[in-house]
Order: sequence, then C-alpha cells, then structure tokens
Amino acid sequence: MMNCEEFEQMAQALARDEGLDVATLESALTHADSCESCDALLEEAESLTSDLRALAAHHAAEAAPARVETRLLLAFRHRREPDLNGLERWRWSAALAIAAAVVLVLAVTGRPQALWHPGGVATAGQSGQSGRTPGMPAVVSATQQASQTAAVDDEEGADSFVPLSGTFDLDSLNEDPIVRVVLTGEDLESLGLPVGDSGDEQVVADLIIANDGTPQAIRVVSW
Amino acid sequence: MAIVRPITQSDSYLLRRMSTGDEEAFRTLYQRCQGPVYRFVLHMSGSPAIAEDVTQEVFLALIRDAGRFDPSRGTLPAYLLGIGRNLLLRRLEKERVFVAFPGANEPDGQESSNSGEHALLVVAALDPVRNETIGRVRQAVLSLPANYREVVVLCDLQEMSYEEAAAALRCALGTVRSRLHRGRSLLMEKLREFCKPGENAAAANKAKLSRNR
Repeated sequence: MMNCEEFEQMAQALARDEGLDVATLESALTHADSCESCDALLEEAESLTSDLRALAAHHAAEAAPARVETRLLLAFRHRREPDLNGLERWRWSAALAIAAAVVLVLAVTGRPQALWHPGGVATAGQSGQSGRTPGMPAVVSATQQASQTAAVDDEEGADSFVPLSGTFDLDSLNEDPIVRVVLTGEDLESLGLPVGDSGDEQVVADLIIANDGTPQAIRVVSW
Repeated sequence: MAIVRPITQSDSYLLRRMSTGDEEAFRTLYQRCQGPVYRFVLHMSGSPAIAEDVTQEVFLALIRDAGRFDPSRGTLPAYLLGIGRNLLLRRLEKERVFVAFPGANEPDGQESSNSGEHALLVVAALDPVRNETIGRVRQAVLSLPANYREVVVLCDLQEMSYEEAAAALRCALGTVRSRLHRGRSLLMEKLREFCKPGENAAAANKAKLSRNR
C-alpha cells in the first residue's frame, strides 16, 4: 500500500489526470480514502488544476494586436527588398569579376590589353612608356587619356555600338559592363571586323561584355 | 459529388515558401503561431505591452533567419516559444519587471524574482468571484520563480505535452516533469498564504460557490 510520501509525489499527476496506470491509480485513491491529510492535498491539487484551467480559458482568445501583424508584414516586405538589391549587386559584381578575368587573360596571353576603367584607356604602347611591369596592364594617366580620346565624342550613345552577337540587345547596355580595350588588327579579325591593309594598326574600342565574358558589342573610340 | 477536403499546409512547407519571399505563407504562419507565443509571454510577464513587443521580436527573428529552425529538434511553435522565452528572460532581467505577492518566500534557498513593480492585468468584472479567483491564481503564477513559472504556463495554461515543453525550454523531459511538480506545489503554498489573512472575502465566496454547486 502507498504511504504519504509516495502519495505526495503522485498528487500533482493525479490532479492533472495524467493517465497513471490503473494499479497506481487504485493504490493512490485507496490511500487518500484512508488518510485525511493526503485526501485534503489531493483536493487542493485538483482545485489548483481547476483554477489554472479557468485562468487559461480566460485568456484563451488573447492574441497579439493587429498592429503587430501590420508591422511584421512591412518588415517582411522591407526584408525582401534589400535581398533583391543584394542580388542585383551580386550580379554586377559577378559581371565585373568576369570582365576583369577576361582582361587579365588577354593581358597574360599577349592579346589586346585592357583594363576596367570607366572612361579610361590603356594601350600596350603607352603602358610601356609609363614603365609598367612587362605583361601587366597599366593605368593611363589623365593626360594620356585626354590626348588619346581627344578626337572621340565621349557622349556617344548606345547607337554607336555594333553588335558582335546575334542575340545582343541594345537595351541591355545598362546592365552589362563596358570595357575599354586596345585591339590589334588580328583581334579585330577574330571578332569578324574589317582590317586595314597594313594589319599592324591598333584600335581603341569599348566592348560590352556579357556575364559569361563574351564580347557582345563594340564601339570604336579611336584608331 | 466531389468531397472537398480542407488542405492544411504544414509549418515546414510554409516556412520554405516564406524563405522564397511568399508573404502569404508568412502571414499564415504568423496567424497560426502568434497566439501561443503571445499568451506564453503574457502569462510569464503579466504585461500585454511586453507580450506584444516580444511576440513582434520573435517573428522578426523568424523573418531574419528562418533557416535556423531545425525540425529535428522540435516543432515550429516550440522553436518560436523558445525564442520568446529567451527574449523575455533577457528583458525581465534588464527591466526588472517583477511581481509583488504578499508573503512570497522562496523555499530551498531559491532566489526570488518576485518583488517590486508589476503591471497587473485588468480582469473584466463580469463575475466578481470567478474573476477574483482568476486574479489570485494569476498573481500566484506570476510570483513563481521563472524556471517553475514557465513549465506551469506551458503545461498547465497552454496544455503543451511534456515533450513539447521540453523542446521549447531545451531541457530534459524529466526536468519538465519535476519542475512542474515543484511549481504546482509552490503555487498551492502561495495560494494558501494568500487566503490566510482573516479568510478574506474571495476565499469565503469561493467556498460559498463550491457549496452551491
């Protein structure tokens, strides 16, 4: 038979109707019937269960005010926007990284030497004059740039670009990076462009580079 | 005639949708889970303002990093309750929002967190006896040490299973069981003390009500 100490350990579970096994339940109830203090304890615990249920029922319909949902939905929308901006930034970074890689490969392999420089120009000859490390592209000074582009209309629009790819869309001009390069006659030929008789001419041109690094359109800056 | 069955989308499915920017999925999740979170904080703090703030913070945390939820460690409501619990405990610690309760002495050297100022909830005066009982029990719950209070709130007031409560509190199932036993015993002591002074009117009314049943 259950003693008072054991009953005390059991009282809360009994009062919460926790589904004790039949033998334990019978033993506990038999003890409560024969022990006044344990019977009172059980009654008190059952009263507590009842009171707690009343408290729970009283608050059952409580919910966060509607303004919380409104604020959270705003935050959710706001949260998405930076993500999209981030994606856009990522796309630009990726495109620039690819363009830089193309430029580096061209420079290392002795192909047309180019730099990413908004409005800037780099040429092999000028680079040599400025004492750059052989094989590495160099930035042209502002003076050199000015003389190089003196005959060029910097405000030339999208119309001056000649598509190199059948799929190129001029509307994408604002999306893909533009790289200014110096091309030899051989390079021009590889791009399917007409070459002069001498074949050793150099042309400064702007290339629109797609995300995969392929040139999409060309605009001759000076020759 | 075709039988149309309501389709309930799982929390995991909604969470995935939400992660792809689906606002409706987030709204559904919020409406499904906000109630338990709000009521948990309300019962734990006794303050609707804190419950509102913490509920908002919980779902902001979900918006910020839904990927942190690991379904193998419990349900989404339990996960959100866990976040709410941590935020609430930090806030209570910071703001020292405590509950005053007459004659509250913690047994076993337990540190009491039950003195000072507290914003009591307003009880609608529809049934004075019932409301007095509810108010008294609420005060007693609020006066429990936090580790006992949270299991009483989760298991007795929110009717969560031991398993769910253990997941929310990130503790062992046996810990939940023993804390609930201890918490309820403390509640009984507090309610007894509350009734001591001259067998106050509420206790008398309750007894009268019991006899009339």
